[in-house]
Amino acid sequence: MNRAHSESVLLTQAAREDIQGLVTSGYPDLPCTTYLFGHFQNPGLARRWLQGIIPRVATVADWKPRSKHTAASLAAPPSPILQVALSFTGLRTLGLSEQSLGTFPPEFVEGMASAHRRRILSDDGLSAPETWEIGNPTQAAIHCLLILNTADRDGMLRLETMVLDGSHGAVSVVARETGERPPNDKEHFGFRDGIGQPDIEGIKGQGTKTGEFLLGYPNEYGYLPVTPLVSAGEDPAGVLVPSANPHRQGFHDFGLHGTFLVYRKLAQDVGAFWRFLAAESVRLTGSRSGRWMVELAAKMVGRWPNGAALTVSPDGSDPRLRDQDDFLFVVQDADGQRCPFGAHIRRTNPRDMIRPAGPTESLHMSARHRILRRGRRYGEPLFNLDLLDRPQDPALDQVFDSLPTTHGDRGLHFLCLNTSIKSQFEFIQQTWVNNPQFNGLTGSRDPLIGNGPPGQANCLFIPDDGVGRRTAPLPPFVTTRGGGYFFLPSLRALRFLARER
Amino acid sequence: MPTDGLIAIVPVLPEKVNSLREAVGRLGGMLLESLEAAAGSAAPPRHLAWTERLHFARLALFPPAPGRPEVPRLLLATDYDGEWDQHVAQLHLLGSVGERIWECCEGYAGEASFPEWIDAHTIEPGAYYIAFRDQDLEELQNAVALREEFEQQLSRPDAADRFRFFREQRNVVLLSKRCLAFTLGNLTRILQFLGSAPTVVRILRQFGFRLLLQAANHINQTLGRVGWIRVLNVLTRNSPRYDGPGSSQAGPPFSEASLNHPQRPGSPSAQVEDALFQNQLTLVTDVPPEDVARLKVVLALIDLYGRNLSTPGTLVGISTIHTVRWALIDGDRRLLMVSNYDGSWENYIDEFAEMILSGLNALWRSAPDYPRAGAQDVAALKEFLRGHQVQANLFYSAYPQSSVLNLKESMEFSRWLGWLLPSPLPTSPAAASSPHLELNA
Repeated sequence: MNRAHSESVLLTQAAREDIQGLVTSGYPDLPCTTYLFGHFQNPGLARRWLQGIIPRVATVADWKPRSKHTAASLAAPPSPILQVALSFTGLRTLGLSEQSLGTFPPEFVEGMASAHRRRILSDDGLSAPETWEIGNPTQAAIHCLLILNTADRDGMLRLETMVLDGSHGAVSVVARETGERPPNDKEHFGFRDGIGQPDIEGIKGQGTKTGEFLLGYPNEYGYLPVTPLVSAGEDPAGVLVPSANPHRQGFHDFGLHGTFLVYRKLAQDVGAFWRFLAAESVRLTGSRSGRWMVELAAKMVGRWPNGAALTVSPDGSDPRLRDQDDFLFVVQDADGQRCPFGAHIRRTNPRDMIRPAGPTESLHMSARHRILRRGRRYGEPLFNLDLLDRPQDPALDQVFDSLPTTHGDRGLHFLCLNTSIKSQFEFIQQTWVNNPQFNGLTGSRDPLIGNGPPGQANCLFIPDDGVGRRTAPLPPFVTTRGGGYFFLPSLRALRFLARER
Repeated sequence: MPTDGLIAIVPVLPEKVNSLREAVGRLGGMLLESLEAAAGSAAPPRHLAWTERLHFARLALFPPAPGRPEVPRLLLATDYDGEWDQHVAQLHLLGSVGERIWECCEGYAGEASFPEWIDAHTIEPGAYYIAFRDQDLEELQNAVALREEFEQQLSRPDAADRFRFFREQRNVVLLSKRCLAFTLGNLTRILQFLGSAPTVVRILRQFGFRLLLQAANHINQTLGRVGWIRVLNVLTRNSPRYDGPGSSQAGPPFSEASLNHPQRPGSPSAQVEDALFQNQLTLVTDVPPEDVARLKVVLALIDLYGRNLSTPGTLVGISTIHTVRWALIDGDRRLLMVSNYDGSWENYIDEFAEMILSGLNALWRSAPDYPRAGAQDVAALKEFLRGHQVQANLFYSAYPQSSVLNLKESMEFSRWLGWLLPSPLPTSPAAASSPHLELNA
């Protein structure tokens, strides 16, 4: 990369006022979330309604970095956050021209439930789109996703009322989902989540290239990602910026400062997860041991329940290593004895070990397939998840004595941001997570979120100082209950969509 | 027996195109069903007799020849073991198994003249790379089945005790591998610490030959890539069209990729991919007459490298390719590429772009719509490739559950098993008194 550009990698203030805030922050200080999935009933009224809520949409400029000092001295809670994302059908309903719609990438146009996409994402059987609660192709199309983050439920009620005010006849709410971000940051299986997040170069000054997460900036290939455009004739008022692409003169940049948003509602069968581990414990050691079960679970995930990565902390004892995420595999873990090759975090981010390529090439390749995760969990935890950090606690044994056999209603609203859905999110799902031959393994998918045809057994291979061992076949613990591909536009793009015709 | 390949392009009777397409589609559906039914096992479905000794096969409706635009064609590309005659007889079977495929083609005159007819339409590839040239189908499948059997044993509670012998041997192998990696990576430092020589010497004596072979492979791999990249760079210099990566623009480069989705050709190919974990690529690009000689040299070099210098399982560091062939067709006016690979198309092209950019440029830079910045502009490169991709109507793989890496390791596993296990008990009384062979190096 040309060194002369390095001073200008940080986002300008003008850019920050144009980019929706979700790109830089998951808003940890606003633990209550509501997702409203809307259907536009009348394009004209919908545009007017959109015009009305744009002033409330939060941008990066509104975001203050969280620090230990300010959190304690906050006089008032941070203001509620609203973000607006649109699906392909939503953009079409709002009146974007066919020519502009044609500049969107094919995976976004097809949608997550299409025949090809579902093969890529292995959404079949219990995860098939026909069974989905959200984004089901047989139900009313979802045109927009509104993400509301507030500090508490009262604030949420107020924000929802404000957002839906004036929506009568314009937008109908097809689905409403709630999520939360618990203080211990744990997802439902009991593991601290959200540690492995790429740094955006435009915010931190170094890290993954901005163009991997924001359109209009160079990406890890060294190019600017292909971006949706609008012809200059459609934008006489100049709401959008003219495209800087010399191959695209006469077009205005619709996608600048926008990004693609992937949403998936993932239901987690926590009872089945721990029952499997209990059964393995009995099968392999003769008795059920909470400590042994937590160890095997950690091997499946690649981190201990408190978040420490196995590669960095093989016995999970040092709490200071909980947040360390800048480790590499080849140096300390080339044979997979600390973190198994097929473990969840090793699959979703192989770092410098994508066999048989060398470390440098692997790092290049890994950097091109990162995603920014912004999800939240839903549903009550099955038990006190903090117990998993102290597995010798007798209360944990009581929990394992009474694991339910029915699937509860809990899981994760998975949300991620990237500029190329097929090259980032779908790539991770298809080539790393659900690939039975990932990194030279045979017949094993991701132990946590892998989904495959019932005939194919999914066993986790755990290298140890011997030949290694294999678990019994793992049932799927996560099913897809809904999903969709959305576009998170910049403020300019929202204003362009909402303009009077 | 070494694997061989066959490419044939036969003209199709124009009025029979639709019935041909349906017939091939039905055959493909039948294949997919039986593959799904056999999912999880490495063996191909036994009732499909025409798939014996067949590694890969594809059938694709192909664009017409330049001189006869009204006559569509059918491309047949296979990788097989055994003799040509046997294979052609099987191909005839393929066409007549429940469906009338060959009857839809021009010039087909029955089973007796089928071999001559195929021979008349056969294309010789300019370059042919096979990941495992010397292993036949049965060997590969047996190796995979053996490894799967063994891995199942690893689920047993007593696996650690059961395989203690392996564990001890494995630790020595690991130690030797680590020593090798350490040695090659730190040659100068090693020379300084000659005190560790006795350990190294002991290990070399114990595993000497194998270590030397591994060292030679390692060196060859590194030199191979570097060497061939240099050669290809020379061939791609001084080109009238090729500007070189990012040379013409100041500031961050913009991709040439167009993203005009409704008009983009070739995207139907994407729709049928990913039914298996392996995919195929069939690409046809135009070649300007002045570039034919250079292209022939490039293909010859790729062939030379692929046959003699590449380590089994990798082609300049790309390990997802099972087989790939390039051929000049239609009077040297078009370049055909036929490839079978693991994983998704995106991953495949990304790997090419990561490992051997100059190879991509050397092959396609003279094509009229190749990206001006070369393969460096990966988005535009992908658009170019999608635009020239021919959709396959049928794709068969004999081992859809095994990647190249799996096959390589399975074969290494069976070799190691042969090394480590003692030889079987002799059956004659005289031989019973002789000692077992000791395999210790």
